[in-house]
Amino acid sequence: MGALRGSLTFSRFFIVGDLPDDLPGFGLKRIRANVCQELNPDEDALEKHGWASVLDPFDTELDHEKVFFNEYAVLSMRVDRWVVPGPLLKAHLREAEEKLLERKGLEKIGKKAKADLKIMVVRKLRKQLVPVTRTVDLVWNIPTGVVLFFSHAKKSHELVQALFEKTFKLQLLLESPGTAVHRRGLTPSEELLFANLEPTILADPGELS
Amino acid sequence: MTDLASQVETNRFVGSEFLLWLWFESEVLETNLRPTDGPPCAIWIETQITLNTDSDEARIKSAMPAATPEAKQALRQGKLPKQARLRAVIEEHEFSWVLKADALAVGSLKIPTELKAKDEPYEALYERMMITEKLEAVLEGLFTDFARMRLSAAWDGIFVPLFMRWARGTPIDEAAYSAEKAKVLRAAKKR
Repeated sequence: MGALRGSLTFSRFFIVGDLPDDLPGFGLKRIRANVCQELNPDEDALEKHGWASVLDPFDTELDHEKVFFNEYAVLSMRVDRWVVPGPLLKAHLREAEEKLLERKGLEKIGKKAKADLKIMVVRKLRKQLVPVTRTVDLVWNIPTGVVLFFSHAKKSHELVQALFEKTFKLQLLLESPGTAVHRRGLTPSEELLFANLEPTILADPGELS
Repeated sequence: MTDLASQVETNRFVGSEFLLWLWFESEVLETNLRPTDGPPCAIWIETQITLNTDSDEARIKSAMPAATPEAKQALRQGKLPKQARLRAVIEEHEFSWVLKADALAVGSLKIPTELKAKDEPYEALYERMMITEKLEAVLEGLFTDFARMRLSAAWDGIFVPLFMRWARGTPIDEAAYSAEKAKVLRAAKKR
């Protein structure tokens, strides 16, 4: 579930870097430049991602009202991907191979021809399918610099970190025990102590599992 | 790895120790936690807790899993909490969520809201964020106290021996613990 309804599952990120003076103006221009583009079946790209409205993943005509309210900026990262079901691809590929063999009067197709045929079949099938779309919401509290991203998946984290940096020229630092400790400000001796911490174990030596 | 990337990965076990400390405090202080920075709150573990070592894992599900003999036994075997479902009452709000210790990540968070997304989406989102930030502020305050304790000499000298006695069912003197904790937090604040 995302930011709008249901239970909330999120990871926290912190902004690294200085905000531009005119964030809504600068930000909106950059967001528009990085909205999710439609996948084209004739292109090689298997996946595309970018920003979309948090209310409607297919709305990429983003304006100020859709993104900024009070102290927040809200966006969805939309990821579109071609997914051609394996059995469907297999069946169409076999059919195409048989037709090619018959047309050319051959008994066997070479590796290269087989690979080219697969690309053709995949492109043809993509025209009959719609990409699979998934979205992950993002809520940025601008004054505090805290970003809630509604997924725990590492791959989604990497995607949004790159997209956010490309869009706003700001880094997103993932919350973890290490970053949480450092965020509180450590003296040099605490820094050294933290670097050399050993895990706490409550077992007596003989009780270790 | 860059400095920031290494910060993310360093000492992830500290998240488990934070969860252990929350559990200890919740039991010893009868759920009434008082972060130095932030409002007082009631927090306890409910319905599930998972404890692990590198090679072994124990998942305990019951109404009050942290109170079961299995949970303390797992601690005595060297396991630390990996994740748990927690419930908190902060001011008039009640929260329930799963805390994933190694990332300090919140999952399946249930919050009390009045507005519905289908009627007033942005207002509903605003309400949800406001309420979620109340919980985050309390967790921040608690983590700050924990971090100060963890980085003090008293962690190994005083608190770990207390945790060990608690894990073996020995009653803990709440006043003595609170006094030691206050001493550490006062000293940390002066720095």
